[in-house]
Amino acid sequence: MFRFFLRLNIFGSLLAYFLLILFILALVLPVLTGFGIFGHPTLPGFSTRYLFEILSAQSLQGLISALIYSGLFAALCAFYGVIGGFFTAKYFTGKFVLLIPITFLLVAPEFLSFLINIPVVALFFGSRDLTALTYGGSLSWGFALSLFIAHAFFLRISTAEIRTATMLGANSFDLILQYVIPRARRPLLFLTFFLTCQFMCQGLYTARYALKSSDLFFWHLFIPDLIYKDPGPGALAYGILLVLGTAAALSAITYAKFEFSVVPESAAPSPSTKAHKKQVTRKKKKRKKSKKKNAEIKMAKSEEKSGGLASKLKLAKLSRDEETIQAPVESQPEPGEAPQPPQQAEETKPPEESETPKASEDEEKAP
Amino acid sequence: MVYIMAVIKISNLDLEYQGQKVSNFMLTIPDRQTTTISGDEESGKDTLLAGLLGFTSISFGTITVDEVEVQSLAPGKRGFVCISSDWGLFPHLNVRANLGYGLRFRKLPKEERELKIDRFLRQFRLTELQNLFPHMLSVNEQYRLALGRAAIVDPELLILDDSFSNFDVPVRESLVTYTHEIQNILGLTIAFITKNPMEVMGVSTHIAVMADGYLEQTGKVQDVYDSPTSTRVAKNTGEINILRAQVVMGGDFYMFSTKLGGLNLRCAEKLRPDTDVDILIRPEQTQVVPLGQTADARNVFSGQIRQIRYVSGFQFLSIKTDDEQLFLSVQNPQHSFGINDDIDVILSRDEYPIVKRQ
Repeated sequence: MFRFFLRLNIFGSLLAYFLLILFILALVLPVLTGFGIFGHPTLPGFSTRYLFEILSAQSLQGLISALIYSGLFAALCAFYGVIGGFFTAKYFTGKFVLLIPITFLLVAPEFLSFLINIPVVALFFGSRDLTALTYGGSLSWGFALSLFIAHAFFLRISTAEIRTATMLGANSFDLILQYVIPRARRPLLFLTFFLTCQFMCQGLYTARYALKSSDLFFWHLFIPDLIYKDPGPGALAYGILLVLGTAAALSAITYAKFEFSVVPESAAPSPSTKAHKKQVTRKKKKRKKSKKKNAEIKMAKSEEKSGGLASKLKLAKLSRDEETIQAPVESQPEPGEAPQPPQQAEETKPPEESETPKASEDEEKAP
Repeated sequence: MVYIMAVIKISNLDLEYQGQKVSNFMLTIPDRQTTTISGDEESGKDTLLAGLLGFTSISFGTITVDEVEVQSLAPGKRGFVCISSDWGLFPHLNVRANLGYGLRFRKLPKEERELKIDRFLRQFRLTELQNLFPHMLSVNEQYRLALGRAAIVDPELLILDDSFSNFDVPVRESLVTYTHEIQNILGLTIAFITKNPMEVMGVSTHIAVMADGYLEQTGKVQDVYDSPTSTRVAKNTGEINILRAQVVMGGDFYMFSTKLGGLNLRCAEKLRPDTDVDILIRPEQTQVVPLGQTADARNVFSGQIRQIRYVSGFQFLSIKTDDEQLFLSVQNPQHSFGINDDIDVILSRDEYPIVKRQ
């Protein structure tokens, strides 16, 4: 994620960091309110007896139901994201990067919804069916995140693989079943896990603030909240899910980071990357150093003309230094010249995983 | 096992792909032989490849396989399989699954499919490795797998699109040799598409050189190498010395004036006096002798050795001539030369390709 930020320009980075802060605040705020730090008349506190309350059969049953619903919905979103991503990659080659701003646009309303503690979707549609609304509200999360992960996934897939499968006889349907889904197993698992936790958080959170009826399947999670007039166990459940969600998010981010690291263009230092800045500074320093040396040599030469052993010694030392500073300039072959001698094995770049085979690995003789 | 392969004919092909055009392209790829299609970066090779494989539609022309038109078929139905530069192995599948991938889309009974996979595993010496994943294999094993996966579907044409460009010279040579061996065994029709054809010309029977979206020259490799019709083809197909000259007078032998002196050469084409031409001389079509030992040879000029390079058992001499031009000569020396030696270069043939300068 942070590597992705590095690829943006300064305003893009600022905006991205701002959104990230909003996102973190949106995640933290419900926990704080849940534990009574915000908006609770009594003193904030936590009692261990609530832990046992939440482990009651009824609570567990609700939790499992929520998990199943969220899991199914998350898997659907993940699947949809990967398939959507595949077709976007296939038919909008080159514009695929647009998915990133689209992702932000889709997630932004949910950030706001989270932040101001109002289920935006419920208000917008004026509906009372909170189960549907909760999961409806989660759609933007699911859609955006699915596309985001799909984007990372499809950046990693080489066109050569898809083309090869096509040439070997696969049509679009075969490609999805025989190539995309098996190839996307890892991102699908990550995404499903991440979205499940996220949807549960979203669902519980929405219910926490919009709950007016008792027919919701997770209503019991908040019963102690009403009985004891304290949000402890409900908030604890929310807290557990939040921890799970955060862990899943971190895993997803780690995975996404790995995906980005194998994108060819990200390997080359761009003007905004640290590597590039380092290179430029090093070059500047080198130039400055050689300039300084030249000036010193000039001065020493003029001193030498006037005579003096010290100046001669200084001149000798400076010219030695200069030799070490200046790299030897290689002569460029002219057109029509004979071919260069065989290149060293190190010159061939080792490719990523198996997508491009490794020259250095080759130790055996020609077959 | 030998497969029945077909002649592929490309006729009057016009197409555009990613801003690059190919116009009026005509080529016949002979059955069970190896053809090299070469050209520099902007020559239109990639466009032609996309058109052949069906990844872009063609505006005009036909592609026929054994006289059946295939240009309107889907990529998987044309019978052309391409091995790209990164070979496109599926990292999530093991060797066996990779090898048999193409058979999933053929209507073959499972038993027959498994038998065929087993046979190809043996043929490509991958039986022991069938449960490994591509990243666990060496380069040669990966290449064998890529080649096997392409060959298992009995392609009409197997295209190798700069498939060896990621490797250094010895690895490239070994892969080319292996491809040639397999081609002989399986009777495959192969087309190498490359910008550096020299390494595959040795195993090719035919070559087509492209430039600016057109077919510049095509023919048997030896013919194109010996008689390039343009400086571009000459440069693309090997080392070349280009001598700028002007026709002084014609006859049985033409007299040319160059900065290196006068030359007397035959020319098949009729040339008018004062015509500006380029004389194309391959390095191996010269002799280098110590200064003054030219006996009664014609077409001699002097120079000084500036550089000696040793490439694959050959000695390349870079010679600085009177007009400051570098001239190359490849030698298996009878004389030993050192840098800065003064030498005479003898143009040992009576006839060299001569092209009019535009």
